[in-house]
Amino acid sequence: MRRFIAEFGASWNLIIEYRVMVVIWMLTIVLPLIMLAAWLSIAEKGPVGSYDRMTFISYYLAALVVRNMTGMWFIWEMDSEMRLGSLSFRLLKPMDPIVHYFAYACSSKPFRVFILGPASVVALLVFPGLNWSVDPLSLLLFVTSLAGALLILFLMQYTIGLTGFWITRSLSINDAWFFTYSLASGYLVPLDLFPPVIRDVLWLLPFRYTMSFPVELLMGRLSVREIVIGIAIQWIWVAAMYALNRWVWRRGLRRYSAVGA
Amino acid sequence: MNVQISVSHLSKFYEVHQKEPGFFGSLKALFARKYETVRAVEDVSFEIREGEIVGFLGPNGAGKTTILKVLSGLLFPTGGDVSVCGFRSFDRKPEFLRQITLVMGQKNQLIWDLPASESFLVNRAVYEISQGDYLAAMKELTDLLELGPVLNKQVRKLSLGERMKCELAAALLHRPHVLFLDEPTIGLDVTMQARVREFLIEYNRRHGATILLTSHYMADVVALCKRVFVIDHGRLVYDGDLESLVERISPVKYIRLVAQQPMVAEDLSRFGEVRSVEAFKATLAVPRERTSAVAAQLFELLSIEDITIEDPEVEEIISRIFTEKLLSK
Repeated sequence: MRRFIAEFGASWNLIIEYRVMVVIWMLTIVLPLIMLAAWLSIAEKGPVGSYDRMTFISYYLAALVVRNMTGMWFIWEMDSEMRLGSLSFRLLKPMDPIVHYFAYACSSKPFRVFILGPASVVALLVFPGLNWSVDPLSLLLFVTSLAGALLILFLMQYTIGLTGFWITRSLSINDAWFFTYSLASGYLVPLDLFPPVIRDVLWLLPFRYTMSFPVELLMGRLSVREIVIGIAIQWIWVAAMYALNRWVWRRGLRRYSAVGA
Repeated sequence: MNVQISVSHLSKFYEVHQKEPGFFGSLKALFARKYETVRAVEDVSFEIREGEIVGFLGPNGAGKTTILKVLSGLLFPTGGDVSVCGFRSFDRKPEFLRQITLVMGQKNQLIWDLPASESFLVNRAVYEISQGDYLAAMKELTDLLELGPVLNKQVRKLSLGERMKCELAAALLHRPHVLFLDEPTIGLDVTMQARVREFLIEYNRRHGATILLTSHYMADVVALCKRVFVIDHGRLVYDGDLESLVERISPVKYIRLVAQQPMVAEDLSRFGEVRSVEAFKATLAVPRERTSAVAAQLFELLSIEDITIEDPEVEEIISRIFTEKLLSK
């Protein structure tokens, strides 16, 4: 834990050093707003499924918050460390590098809360009809589901980064992964608007639990039963991703020490 | 003194695939990859005692860095046994990693965009150094390396020499017993090289640390290492005293002259073997034991502006070892 705090502290200082850059990064997350604009014009003639215009606004503003709170980009750093060989230094320390990358991935989050908190209050004032449940229990569930989403996304990206032990360009896998994530998580289109069969399949895959699930929690669209099952599936995916990650890590290390650091 | 590093019959082979240059080469490599085994290290054995400083000599690609990587646990050997501080390196046990450090002059571990002091704090937590030990180590390293003025500057703004000093400090905060240094002085100016060497000698004296280093600078090896290993094509071809190696390989020293009048080769040849003459400048190769006598003669007979006596460059000694197979077993 002390190691995590030290690593986090260093990354946090990087964030402070580059606070303007972080704000710009936050502003570049515009995909939900573009989707929102498109759906608003479609929904002008009447609701789409169970989504009317205000539901779309609630959905995509929530998606914007979730993306900011769970998005991470440390794979770029991993990639360069692997290719330039500075990963060797991490392997020579008595600490698993996962601690470093996790701290690095989390370090911008407090900064984002600091900006998104007030922004959300403004949103609630501007759109009095916003369907966000902001009672303490819903917020607690929302934050819990954000933590699960963050862990799944971290472990997915870290595992993809580790494929760099075998192929030099893990970033291209990451691009393919992002495409899948955008479609299957509800980031582009609410999962409720998919045909029921597809929707049911997507409910079992990990992607929903990185985006749509927290968004639906915040919007109060889920029954108690759906919430309990959702949290269970989410944390099963966290455990499965962790197991997969450790397996890939051990194999990758063996390969790294065989073919050259 | 105890044996701290022991290596027996170490081998490390790599499979690398060959690619012909150009687009068609790439295309061909897609379907039929040709693999070739590179014997980076082959049947190397040695022992190093606690507190020794040993230098690795060898041309680029001889296998020096590979051996350091195997010893520090980054690579596992294809064959043979390696023991450092009583551990098999490649198990990379935390208790082992706490006792060693690896410094690579061409790579950096410091966080690029933050002051070095941030990296030190991270290392303090990673190595679980107590507050007291940390402050003591910081004070010692700050004094020895004169870090005071650079600690709070961002690493990317430091000069190469300043950065190297910080790299060394970061690598030594946990007071390792064994130091693996791969080209620690590369790219540094002469003053800074000397500073780093003094520091290493002092660190070795104070803490009895064992140091294994590679360097292309003869001055490093001369100043630091009594004992040297010469590596050629992955094999250990010499293990012993540096002085006897130099005398054995290169029985001559160079006298470099600058004279006030132009010189010609014929006049100079009676003093020694003429390596080069261009008008006012000349270089002579003279047997070691006669260098001072010859220098005195030159002063007497020619009007000399400047004279220097040098050992051959380590690269030259090395290349003689390898081109003339002087150390073949």
